[in-house]
Amino acid sequence: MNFSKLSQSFKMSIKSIMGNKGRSALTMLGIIIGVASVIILTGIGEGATSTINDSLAEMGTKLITVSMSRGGWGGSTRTVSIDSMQEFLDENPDLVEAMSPSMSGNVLLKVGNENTYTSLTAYDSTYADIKDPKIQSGRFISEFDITHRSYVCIVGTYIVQEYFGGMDPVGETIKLNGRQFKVVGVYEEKGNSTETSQDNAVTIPYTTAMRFLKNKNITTYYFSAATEESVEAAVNSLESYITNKLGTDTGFTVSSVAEIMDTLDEITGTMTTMLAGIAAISLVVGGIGIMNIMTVSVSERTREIGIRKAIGARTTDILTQFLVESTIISAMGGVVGIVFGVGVGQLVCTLISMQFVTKPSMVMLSFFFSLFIGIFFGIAPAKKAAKLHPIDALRSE
Amino acid sequence: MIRLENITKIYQMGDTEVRALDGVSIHIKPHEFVSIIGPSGSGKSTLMNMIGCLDVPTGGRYWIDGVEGSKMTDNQLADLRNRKIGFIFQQYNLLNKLSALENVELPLIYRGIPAAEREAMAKRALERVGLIDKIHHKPTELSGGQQQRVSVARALSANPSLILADEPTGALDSKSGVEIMQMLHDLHADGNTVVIITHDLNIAKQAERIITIRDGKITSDIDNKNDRADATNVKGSDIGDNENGKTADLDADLKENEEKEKYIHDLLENTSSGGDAE
Repeated sequence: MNFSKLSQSFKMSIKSIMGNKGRSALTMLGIIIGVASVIILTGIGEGATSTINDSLAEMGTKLITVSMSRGGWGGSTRTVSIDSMQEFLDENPDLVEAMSPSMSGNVLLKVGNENTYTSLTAYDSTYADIKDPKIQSGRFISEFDITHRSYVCIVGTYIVQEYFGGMDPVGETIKLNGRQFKVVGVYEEKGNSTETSQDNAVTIPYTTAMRFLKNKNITTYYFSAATEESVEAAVNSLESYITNKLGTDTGFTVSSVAEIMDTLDEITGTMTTMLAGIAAISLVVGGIGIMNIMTVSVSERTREIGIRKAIGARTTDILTQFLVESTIISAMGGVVGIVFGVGVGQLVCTLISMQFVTKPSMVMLSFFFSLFIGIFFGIAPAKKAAKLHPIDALRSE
Repeated sequence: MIRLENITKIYQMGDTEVRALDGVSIHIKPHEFVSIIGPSGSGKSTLMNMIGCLDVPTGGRYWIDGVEGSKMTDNQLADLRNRKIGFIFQQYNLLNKLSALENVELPLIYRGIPAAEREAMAKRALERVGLIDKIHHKPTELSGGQQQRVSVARALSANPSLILADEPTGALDSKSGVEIMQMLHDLHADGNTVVIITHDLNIAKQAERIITIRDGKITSDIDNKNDRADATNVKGSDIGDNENGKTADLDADLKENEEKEKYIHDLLENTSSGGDAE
């Protein structure tokens, strides 16, 4: 088998495929659908994974959350004091670099004569070191605010739109549960500035909140790990530190975004593999379609095979010709399927505003898998053709 | 050139053995023009398959150009056919999806000749059969005679040692038949070895040598050389017309072989009646 013969087989196969356009297209359809579904399903899977990862990463990959919860039935919330947490921070500079207590609840908001409930969060000024608070105008809570328990607040865009008519409210005052607060900053828009979105929110210093809400128990602490690599060690270290302080390892959780991301990656990875597996089944079905058509083709072309053999085609020449033909059909189907899959996937994902990710490795994999299908399912019919005896083949009509 | 020694071919049909060829020995010398004639079922097709290396014998030995073909593998036989034999079939056996040129190129492809050289060779062959202006036509766009000329071109494109024609005029009208026979005569005149398998005495008689086969055995081997010169001059109108012209003269010249001649006539009748029955 030299190159000249192979390129001839290639030409002859193209001729034969083009000579039977309808049938070739139908044969390819199985592969096209198979490859396209692999591309679409993995693309959507990967897209979902990266959407989730992006929003998690926005929360900060170094973020560690400590939540205190009620310990059992009738029990009260046990908590670790702010001083203890500060102590942990000071003693473990290689693990964590910032800490902020956090409180949350709902308050009655009054601007002028209008009343509404809004969600309230309270942080330390150090919260800005843990996570970018994304202030569009004005400033975040300062150390001065914390030490002096200032009545200042940062408001979301819903409040700006609804009560200040879109005008910059910095310097204005609002009433929360009847107390006057000075607006010092405005958050960037997080949702769509509606009442039910994250933009209907107010943030005040935690020291102010403890007095204002008459609540001495901090139920949530945020930490920032020193590096992304130290997240796991910091989580473990915090767990044992709190267990030691509380005398029990229940009633609290220490979680990190990185940990959640790992778990999600695992789940979506499994899902993507499963979807690709299901799609691969249709590829195999497509391959069986190729085998079918090639077998029919061999029967129909018995005489042609006889002629070719009579004038000197070797067994390998015939084998190559049919194998090349089935491989070309599946390869063409693969290419069309990839184009079709990427096109449809992107279109659908745009319509449902999801992310669609086309991984080059997945494209290559599905292409080579379709090539393999063509060769694998082409072998049996090609062997059948090659084994035909020239006399019997010539006699057939 | 070609030597068959005690060739037998036995087909197993259920429990019974069919001896298609029963100890056939033939020696064909280079540049000979031989016709093999016999009725259907005589083993003539099997003999052609043996000479054409399309089949291997059950027994006996076979040489073409000094190469022993009787003990070859399928691939070796394919190469032998490709290099040594140019086939001309009754049904042309062209590939309808390929152009005339591509059909003629086919044996050269399997020989592994580079494209440019191959095309030149194929064009020369088509020029020789007078179809240079039809090289891009598909067989279905050509008349029967033209298709057979393409197959002649295919047979001679690869410069084979032997041109093997199986009923080359069988599917043609008489005018095209004459043209094809003339082409075979020309090829022979150019020094090619030509073997024709036929059941048509008028075709057979144009050869230098007439071999008759019946029931798998050679029944006669007539030297027709003296008349060959006449035969090559036979005009189209004379062929197929037994009553007058050169064919009649040819019959007269064969008087010394009268007995065998009569036998061939008998054969011919058997054949045509046998053919009708089929």
